[in-house]
Amino acid sequence: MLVLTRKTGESITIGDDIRIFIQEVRGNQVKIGIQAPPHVTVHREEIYLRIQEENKEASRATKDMMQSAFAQFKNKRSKEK
Amino acid sequence: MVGNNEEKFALQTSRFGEIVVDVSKKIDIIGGLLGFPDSKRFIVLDHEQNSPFKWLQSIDEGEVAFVICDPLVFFPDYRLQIRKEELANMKVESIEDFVIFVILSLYGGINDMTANLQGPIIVNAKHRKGRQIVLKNSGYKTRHRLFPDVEKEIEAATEDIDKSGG
Repeated sequence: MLVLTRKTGESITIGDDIRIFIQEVRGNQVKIGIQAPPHVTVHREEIYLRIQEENKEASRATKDMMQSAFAQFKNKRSKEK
Repeated sequence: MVGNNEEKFALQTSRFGEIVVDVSKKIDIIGGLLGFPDSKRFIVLDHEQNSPFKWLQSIDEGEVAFVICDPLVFFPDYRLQIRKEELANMKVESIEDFVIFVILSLYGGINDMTANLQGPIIVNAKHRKGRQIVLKNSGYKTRHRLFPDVEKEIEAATEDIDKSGG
């Protein structure tokens, strides 16, 4: 991994169209500005990982699970009527 | 594999066996779904009549499929804000063309079916382009129960049995 030291107000460029700005450093928190083209998605890693993990969980669904979800749905709807 | 000029082709899937894919119905999910970078083209398969659920089946990987539904069926107050950059390459003409799906995790037990409200899929139905977006500061999470009152019902039923000495 490439490690660079930067001061507040300085920046890093990645490729031609991504720029990372160090905006503020306070204690152990760093405020970072990111300029990237629209097709590049930027996420806080923990949120990204959570969605990724949930997608993996969701992909385990089987036809049987779907049937039981549908049965539950019908059951609920018939009670509401 | 998909030939460019073919309108329909057979796809081997792990859940549904061989299915015929109508290429005109495919949805390009830009960037793929998080965690599934190799699946970028999907089709929507209906479940049963009156079922709110659908399958989002990958065309690129036959074993990859997700259960999706219209979030408003279970979460009528669900609202989301789409950022401009999330609409990039989606051929936006009118917001009316857009539909929203959420992915469900079913786990196998009726008590713990959940919807991922934090990572919905937005689809431009007219141009068949979609993207999974990640909501920021929305208050929504990846696991919202579809049937939050089921547990209470089970508890109530158990109490009844206890009272009747069962």
